[in-house]
Amino acid sequence: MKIKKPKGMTSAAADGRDASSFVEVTGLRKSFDGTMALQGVSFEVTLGTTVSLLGPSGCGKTTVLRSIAGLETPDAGRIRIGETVVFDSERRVSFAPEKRQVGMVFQSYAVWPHMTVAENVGFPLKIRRVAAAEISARVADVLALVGLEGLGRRPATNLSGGQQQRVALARALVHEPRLVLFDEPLSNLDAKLRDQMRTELKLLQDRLGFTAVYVTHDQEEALALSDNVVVMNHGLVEGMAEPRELFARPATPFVADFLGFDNMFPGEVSEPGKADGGPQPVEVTLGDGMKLRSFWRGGEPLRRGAQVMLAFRSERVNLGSGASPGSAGENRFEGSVEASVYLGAYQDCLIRVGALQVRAVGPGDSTFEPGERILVSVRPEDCIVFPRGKNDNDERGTMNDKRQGGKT
Amino acid sequence: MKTASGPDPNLVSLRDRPSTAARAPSGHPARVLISPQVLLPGLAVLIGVALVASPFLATTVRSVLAGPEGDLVPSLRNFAALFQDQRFYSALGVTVVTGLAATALSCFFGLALAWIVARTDTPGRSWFDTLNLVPFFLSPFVGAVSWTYLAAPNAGLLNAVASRYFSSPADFLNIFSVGGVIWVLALFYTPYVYLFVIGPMRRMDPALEDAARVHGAGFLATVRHVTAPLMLPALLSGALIVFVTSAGLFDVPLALASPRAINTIPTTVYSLVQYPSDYGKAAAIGVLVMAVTVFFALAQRAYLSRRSYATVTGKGYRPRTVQLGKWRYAALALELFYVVCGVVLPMIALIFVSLSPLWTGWPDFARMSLANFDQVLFHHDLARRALVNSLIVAVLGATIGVLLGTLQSYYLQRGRSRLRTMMDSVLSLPLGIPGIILGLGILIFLIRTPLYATLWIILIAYVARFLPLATRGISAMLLALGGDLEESARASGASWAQTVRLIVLPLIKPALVAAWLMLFVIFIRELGASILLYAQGTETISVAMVILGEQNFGHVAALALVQTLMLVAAFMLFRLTRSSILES
Repeated sequence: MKIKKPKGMTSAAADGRDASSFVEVTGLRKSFDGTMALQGVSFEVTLGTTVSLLGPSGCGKTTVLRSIAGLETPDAGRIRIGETVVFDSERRVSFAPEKRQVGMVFQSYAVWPHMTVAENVGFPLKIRRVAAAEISARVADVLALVGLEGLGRRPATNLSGGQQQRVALARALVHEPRLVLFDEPLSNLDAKLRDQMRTELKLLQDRLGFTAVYVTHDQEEALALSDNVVVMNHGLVEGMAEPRELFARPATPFVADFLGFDNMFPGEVSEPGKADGGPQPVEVTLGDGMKLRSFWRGGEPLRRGAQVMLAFRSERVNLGSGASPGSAGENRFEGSVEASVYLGAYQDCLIRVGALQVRAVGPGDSTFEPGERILVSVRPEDCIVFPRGKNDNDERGTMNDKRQGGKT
Repeated sequence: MKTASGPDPNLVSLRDRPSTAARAPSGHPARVLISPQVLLPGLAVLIGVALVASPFLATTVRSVLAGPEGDLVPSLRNFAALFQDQRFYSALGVTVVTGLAATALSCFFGLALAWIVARTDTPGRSWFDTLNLVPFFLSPFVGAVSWTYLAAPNAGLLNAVASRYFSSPADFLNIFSVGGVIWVLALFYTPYVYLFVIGPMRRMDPALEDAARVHGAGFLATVRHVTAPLMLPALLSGALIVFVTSAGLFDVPLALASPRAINTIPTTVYSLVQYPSDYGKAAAIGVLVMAVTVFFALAQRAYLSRRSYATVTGKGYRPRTVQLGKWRYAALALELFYVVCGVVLPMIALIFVSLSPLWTGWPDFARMSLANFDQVLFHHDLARRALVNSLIVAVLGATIGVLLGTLQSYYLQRGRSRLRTMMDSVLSLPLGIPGIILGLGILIFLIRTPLYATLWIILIAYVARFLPLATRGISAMLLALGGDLEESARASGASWAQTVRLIVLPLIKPALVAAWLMLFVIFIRELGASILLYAQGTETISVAMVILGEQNFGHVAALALVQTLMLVAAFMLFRLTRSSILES
């Protein structure tokens, strides 16, 4: 898909910008009625890639997206799309939404109820005064692309939710925008349809290679659809990483928690190892004296007595009846089953280990009776540690440490 | 969990519950037939149908009877005479012109004011949201009367101001004209359009407009391609109501056009019933008007069923406000202009006139007194009687109206009859019928009964004409409520009566209060439906103002202010209970 160069806009060459970052968001701040929605958000999007903004509701991700679209005016900051600075609070530059040459898919679809499918999809072209014949040809093409061929003459309200979603997608792509913005596009669909649309969207992305910013609160969506994920919380960027990196080694406790590290305990480093150029092996003693081995992948090696958070996923916990040997170097403990919830293929278990409550996922075909003694093990490479402030068990306290904890 | 083999005893016992017995008549057929659940709402609907059908039938029958009183024979002479009467055509022309022009002007004001309040950053928006609705509750007749004090040629206050300070001619403004009628109608029907469009404007998903902006449309293109088409259904609904209601209004043309011998259809009917009366010709007009009403009702129904995007879906969106910049002051000026013309100026004029012993066209503050109020409230027989009569009719009528409206709503929303959709259409027919035409029908129907010349006949006409308003408001609330809450009460063992008393009525109370206040307001000020039905002793406030109009400006103004105070009190209560009836 070709990228259209808008005319009459400030040249990036004059600013000496790096051409590889197609979209650049710098220091975005915004407050609504006194509450800070964005407290300085910066990130970049490389040409032809997708960046997801991932975070809980109210974290400011949608505000960032709407600011890029021009639907929201930030209080401060700078937004560049391609060679155009579309917003700069210092130079008082703010392009109207229609001048920013983007496409956008809205959470509520925003399919116009008084138009047919073809009228909806053709709108961006009609507004740009494209000839009628070309409009109908391009609308037909893009409808075929999203799997709606032949439905052009239907009233838009006559479609199912999934089909309306496709109309919204087609409308955002038909004018071949240089940037496509997605505002939680799949959140209104039911689970099955969501999975299907996610796959289709991925295929479409690979095929068209558009540049996109994708807002979601669903980690699977973010991991599946993006080249880079920006995790946001309280109007701040908590971390930015490629999906695999993000999933395996989240940079902060908040990111870890959000991405499914559902076991997280405070402790202190009792035995720091040698890094030797790779990750530093550390032994962490948790509150009640329990010791776990893990690896620290940050910059500065951790010292003895450093206050840390240790986290691991419930899926990575192995449950055994006691006889199984387990691999060498594993963290192994004996615990007792507190509760288990049968979910078909697997079951969620709560295991009491000393003073701790460990979440674990057990296979669906075994039984876990409450009170049953059980062996719990987790591999050191599945455990991650984060430094934390001295008297601070709150994960938010480590927010300032995110740069140390980020990928090297 | 046990496997479900064989009949489950729980299911069987559930089937015997009274809640499902009504749905499956095989259970207790005898009980279903006589249950109050079916009987009472059905009775209310029958009364409603009778209230619609009897004036319709009476008018139709009378229109095809001609000849001297007491010796009537079937004939089409009434229609023939009507169609040869040049005055009929000119009255028709004036009616259509005033109706269309008032509708156009109301649409302009209503749309602009709703947009200003709902979508812009104009200062004082929340105040104007209330102020814009005040004329909705005031009496158009009082508005017309007070505008005669303001803009009568040579005597009006505004003309006096204009000639004193700007040395314009003293008949600069002439309210006694077709233009005057249009002006006052537009002022008082603007809130109807406003109410119709402000809901969709507020509820519209802002993403619909955002999507247009993002995909290349500027502000104006977005308005043209997205906002305006989405508002159109609501605007057309409002415009239709305004046209039908304003064209059928009797009192404003009576006050502003009749003095210059300009007639509309409603004032023509009025003069045909005055001595020497021609009921046949009046009934012929009535039949034509009713036919037009039915046509409009059918057209609206067809239109509503055709458009598929009737409701602009919404779930508490906060629409984007447009930053108007300097234009904010233009918007503010338009708002102020409307409120000043619709509320402030008429009130000032009424206060001046009512306080003046003798109104000369200019306030003489030195001689002002409360003498007129003293007269009207304590001494003047006609005025005092009218106040008492109006209060009786309004309180009693509103109560009966809410009672019948509740039962009818229950029938329409919860009944199982196949006639419900048809009944809905039939019962709402009076909404489009001018009060004076319905009054004529009631008069013809009841003139030979003992009810004639009593307050009851006025009460019947009022309820017949305005009951659908109550039914609609309460229906909307019942619909929003859904049946689950009642069914769960029945499933918990409550009888129908207990369910209504403990669940339904408490939940729809806001709609009941709103409907009562609405009917009270209308009954206090209504003139068209009572002008043909009053007799010596059964005058209402508005009728008394017509009678006194020729004798004493001060008394009329004082009476109008007293009436206005009643309406304002109801309006205040209404704002407190603020409910769905306005949106229905």
